[in-house]
Amino acid sequence: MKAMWRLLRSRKLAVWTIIAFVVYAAVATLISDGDWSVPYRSPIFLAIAALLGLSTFACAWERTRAALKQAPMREPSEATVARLRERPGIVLDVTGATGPLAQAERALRGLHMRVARYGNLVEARAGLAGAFGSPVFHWALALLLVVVALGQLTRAEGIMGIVAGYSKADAAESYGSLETGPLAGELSGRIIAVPSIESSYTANGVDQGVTPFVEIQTPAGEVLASGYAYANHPIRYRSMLVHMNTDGLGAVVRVSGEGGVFTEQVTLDYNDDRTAVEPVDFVLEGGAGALATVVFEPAPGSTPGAPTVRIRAAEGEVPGGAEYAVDQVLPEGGSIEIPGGFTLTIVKLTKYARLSVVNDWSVYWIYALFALAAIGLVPAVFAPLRGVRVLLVPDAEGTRLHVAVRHGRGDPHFPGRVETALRAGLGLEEDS
Amino acid sequence: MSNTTEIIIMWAAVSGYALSAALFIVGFVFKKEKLTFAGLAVAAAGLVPHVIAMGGRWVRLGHGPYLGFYEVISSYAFFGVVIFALLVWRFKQLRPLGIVLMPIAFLVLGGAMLAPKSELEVTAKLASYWLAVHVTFAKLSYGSFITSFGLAVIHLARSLKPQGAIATRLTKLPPQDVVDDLTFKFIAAGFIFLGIMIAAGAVWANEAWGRYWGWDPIETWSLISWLCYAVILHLRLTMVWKGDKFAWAAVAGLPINLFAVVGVAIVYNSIHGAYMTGY
Ligand code: HEM
Repeated sequence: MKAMWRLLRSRKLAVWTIIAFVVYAAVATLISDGDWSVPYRSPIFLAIAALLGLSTFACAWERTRAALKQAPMREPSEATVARLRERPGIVLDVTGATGPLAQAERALRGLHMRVARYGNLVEARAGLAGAFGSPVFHWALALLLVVVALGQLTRAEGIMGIVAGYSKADAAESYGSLETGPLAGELSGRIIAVPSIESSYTANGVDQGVTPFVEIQTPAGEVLASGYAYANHPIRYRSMLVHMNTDGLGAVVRVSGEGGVFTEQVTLDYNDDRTAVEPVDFVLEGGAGALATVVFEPAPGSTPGAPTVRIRAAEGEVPGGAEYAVDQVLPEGGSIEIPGGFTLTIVKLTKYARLSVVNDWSVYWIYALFALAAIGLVPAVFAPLRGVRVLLVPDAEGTRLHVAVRHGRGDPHFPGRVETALRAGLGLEEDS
Repeated sequence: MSNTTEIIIMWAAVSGYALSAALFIVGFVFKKEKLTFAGLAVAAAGLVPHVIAMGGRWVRLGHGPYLGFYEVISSYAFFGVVIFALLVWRFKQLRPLGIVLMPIAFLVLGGAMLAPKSELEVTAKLASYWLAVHVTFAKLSYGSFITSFGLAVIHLARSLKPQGAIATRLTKLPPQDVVDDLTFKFIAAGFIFLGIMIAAGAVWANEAWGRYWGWDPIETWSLISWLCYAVILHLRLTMVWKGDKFAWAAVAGLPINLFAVVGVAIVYNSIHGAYMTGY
């Protein structure tokens, strides 16, 4: 256990783990083409990321202990004082000066340092934020890895098409495609409604194109959030984010047959040039095993203002190569008999909005950890812990101050600045 | 400002940087210190037409210099010269950095002038203030890394051959430990800026697409270069790499970062590459 801990907080392990991460990512982009995120689900990558997380935790722990030890001012040990007496960094001759330690204290305060006096010795410190910045930064990174992992395990992301004037529930069957993390709970059951879709909408000085008005509602229909959804402007409620993805032709059809009456939204996507909608298959199920396949297709001459669809239908499941018994063009409101004893009515023929719906609680925590990491990092590198120790050493020849200077980042200017301030404070010549 | 006026003014900036580079090089080779002062003044003067041309284009097209190769590359040259000028303003002895940086600035801006100056529009997808944050910090970070690279090169040039022709011409520079410390500070600053750039990109991706990270090559390579600089910082802070060793590490960081910025956008056809290739 102890050996394990020692390994985890080893700085070499940290550097090599980061390098392994980097090499893995570089190779992954080289060999995967298109579906970029696949290599990052591999156990090898997850193991590297987990090791990086553990090692960062261990280091954050270590950094915290080190900061707690170094930052507060306390009386230095005998050994430390002896070392300063034997091997001073800077020696200032203050023979004849009155109260040299008090003057040194004042000079160090002038450098914005906190100062404490222990007998013949003055301790000064600055950069408390810097001392704790490093642990804060490393804790933030370690937590970031954990939160990202938990978020990925529990997030849900899917695409659903909603015809203007209609709605769907946030439930698995509403989605055309849905990906949920292995630990994701139930979907929210909230209602996503699209009361209307504008053909063009201007926001941020740019025409946003086809833009739906989206509402997120409780299952009871109470509106929780609403607005136009367009690029960079999702509609959100807590951790749920609804983006506009694309639009197409949407039909709401009512089917009546032996098994009863039901209404269904059919979404038809435009082809790549947006000159026509792509055909879509639709299997109807009625009572007593009745089945029919209906193919919706663009009708020649259909315009956005007056859309029509061509409907072909056959009895049974997929009519591979079979003749369609029905082949007809219908406008909104049109009705048609389908083999199998169904009647199909086009209740609505208008635009639909393809919406991407994401539910990921971790996002705001991730942002907060980004901020925390930045808040820790800036003082850690630019205002690190600085310490000055001044010891009064009277000897046969006079009185001297032995000064030790420590700078968390080894800034070569710092000792010079301290010496200049002390000399000025004590009224000494520049190079006595 | 019309397109033609902009290009004419921009050529004035290119000429300024070329002249400045020449002054630095001649001053350095013939040990004429006055020429390097003149080189600095000309570089600073070159910033004026540069900023006017960029500003004119900004007003005409309604967006900052971040769409298409010409705008992106030209603004890097601009930020490079600005950071150089500020650095030398603070540390006068660092003037010789101009020998490395001004020819680069000249070649970069000259190269941008030869590329098509496609006038791309801010599409609905791009219109977000996160873009401004993202782009600003990206430029700040690349500027810092390029400067750290220049400093590390100077450090190495002086220490590899202390009596060599280059080192003897660089004696007026601050001592090696100060150059070393500055290299570290620019890497640290670049690392923070790059971190903010990546975080802002993630926030923006979430606003735009509903996902904060998708392992797209540009995202991945930005993270790679950030982590490489994290390694370099650890080598310094935990394994106490100083002097030459650290300078080599600082030199090695830049190509990775350049590949992340320029290479990836060209090599990989990704939704993210539009800023360089402009489709
Ligand atoms: C995602 C991975 C990591 C990144 C991006 C990272 C980044 C950084 C950065 C930017 C610094 C300089 C600022 C500071 O003083 O804190 C730093 C310092 C440091 N890091 Fe890390 N780090 C990572 C993981 C680790 C790990 C796993 C260890 C454990 C060995 C570690 C140990 C340290 C130590 C000892 C310092 C010096 C702190 C000081 O001087 O106060 N880091 N790291």
